[in-house]
Amino acid sequence: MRFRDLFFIVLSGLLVVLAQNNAQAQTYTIDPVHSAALYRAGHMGMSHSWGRFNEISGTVTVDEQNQANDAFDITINAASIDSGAGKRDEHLRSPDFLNAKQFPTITFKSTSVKPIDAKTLEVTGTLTLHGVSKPLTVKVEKVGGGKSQMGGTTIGMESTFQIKRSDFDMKNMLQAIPDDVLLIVSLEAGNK
Amino acid sequence: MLSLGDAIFGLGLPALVGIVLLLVGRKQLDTAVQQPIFWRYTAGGPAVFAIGIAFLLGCSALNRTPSLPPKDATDWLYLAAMAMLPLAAIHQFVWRSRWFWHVACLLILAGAIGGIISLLPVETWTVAQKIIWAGGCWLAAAAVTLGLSFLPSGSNDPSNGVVTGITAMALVSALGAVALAMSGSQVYGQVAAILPATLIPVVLLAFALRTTFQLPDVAPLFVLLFGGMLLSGYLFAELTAVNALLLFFSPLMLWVGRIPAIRNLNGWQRGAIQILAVLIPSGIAFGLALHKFLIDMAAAPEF
Repeated sequence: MRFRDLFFIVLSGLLVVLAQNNAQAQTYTIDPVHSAALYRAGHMGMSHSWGRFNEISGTVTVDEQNQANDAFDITINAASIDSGAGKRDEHLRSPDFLNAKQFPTITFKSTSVKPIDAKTLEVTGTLTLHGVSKPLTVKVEKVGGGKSQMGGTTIGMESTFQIKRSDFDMKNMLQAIPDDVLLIVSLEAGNK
Repeated sequence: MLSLGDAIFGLGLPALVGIVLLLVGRKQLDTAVQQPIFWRYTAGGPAVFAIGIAFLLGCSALNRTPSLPPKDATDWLYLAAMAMLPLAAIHQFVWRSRWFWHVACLLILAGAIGGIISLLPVETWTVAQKIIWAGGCWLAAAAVTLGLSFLPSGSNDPSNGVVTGITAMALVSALGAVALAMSGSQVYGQVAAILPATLIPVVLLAFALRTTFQLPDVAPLFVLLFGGMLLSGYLFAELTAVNALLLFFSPLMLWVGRIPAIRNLNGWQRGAIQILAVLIPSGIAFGLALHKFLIDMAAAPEF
């Protein structure tokens, strides 16, 4: 066997190994335009009030071979809260609630991921909101994924969970706006 | 929103504390000195304790007792007021030294301002920016503290500048509390309202009981609490810089009483002009906050 042939065999083997490693964990960047973070809060026991956070960013790491290696790192701009009423948004950003000038970001960083079934993951991580960090475990649904028209691969995931705002030191107006807040986080993330 | 409990314990209790301390702590004026025409008693020290203790009680009633380490601007004000009260006791009963009182209070002011500014997020504020801001705010606080403390007054004057001073503080703090509440944070407005809730009954009772005040004793604590709330409202709520500055510096308008043409007027006339001078900038700030609030509320309803 000539040296040139040996070289190409070794090179091919290295490329195969590299390709496999890359295939194991892919990091996807959250697409803020196609992602959403919604909240639902009660209003004086009469109705629900919905709103959203308009700025969401971060990454999702997916390991097709071993989903326990998946990771979520999500950041939401607290000041981007949008309830459809400017004065209410100002109040929600104030020290009475989110105190967005002191705590500008809401973050979730996963610490462990457990696959439940083919479409569901149980993700445990740390939610930091209003300057308070608490462990949180949520169920994440894998909505879909595939080749993107823009190039690269896109994945979609969604999670619905509930928190108590008093756990995060937001104890103002608990009679008017109940403690439990429902959150829906829908992510579309891509890599190129 | 202010519940009935908040109103009773957060505002009513501080008012009661102020009244009780004024009644208990006032001292008869020394008859060896030229007897004032109108005033019979003086209550500088009790006024400090009244404001300080009332603020602490009011914050506790509004569930604003501080956490350690402090996580909110009002936590820093609470701790600073707690630190100032023992010094006030030393100043009143052990060492009646004006320089000791002012130096100690200015140090506490520096700590409180530094603490509030330290809460600003590192993502948007560099260390250098925080230091510059803290220094600037402390200089402003020192200017107002010393400006109020060294305001001359005639003890045998029926209007007595120092009563005018505390009256001005009561009115300005009331306007400031409402402006804060209209600037995005009802909680800050409630906490700020503890100050006028204490001062207004004290002032009314002072006139009724012919009791005057030593302004140098009261000024540092007033600047800490009133100025601290304005700083917090600007940094963390939506109080504008213009409104904050107009409100904070408005008590210095008491110095118009030193203009020769005004100084030679009758005491009550001079006092009225001084109060009016203070109300002009603070009234403008209140008007601007009210105007913005009404426009915002007309655009969309609140909760």
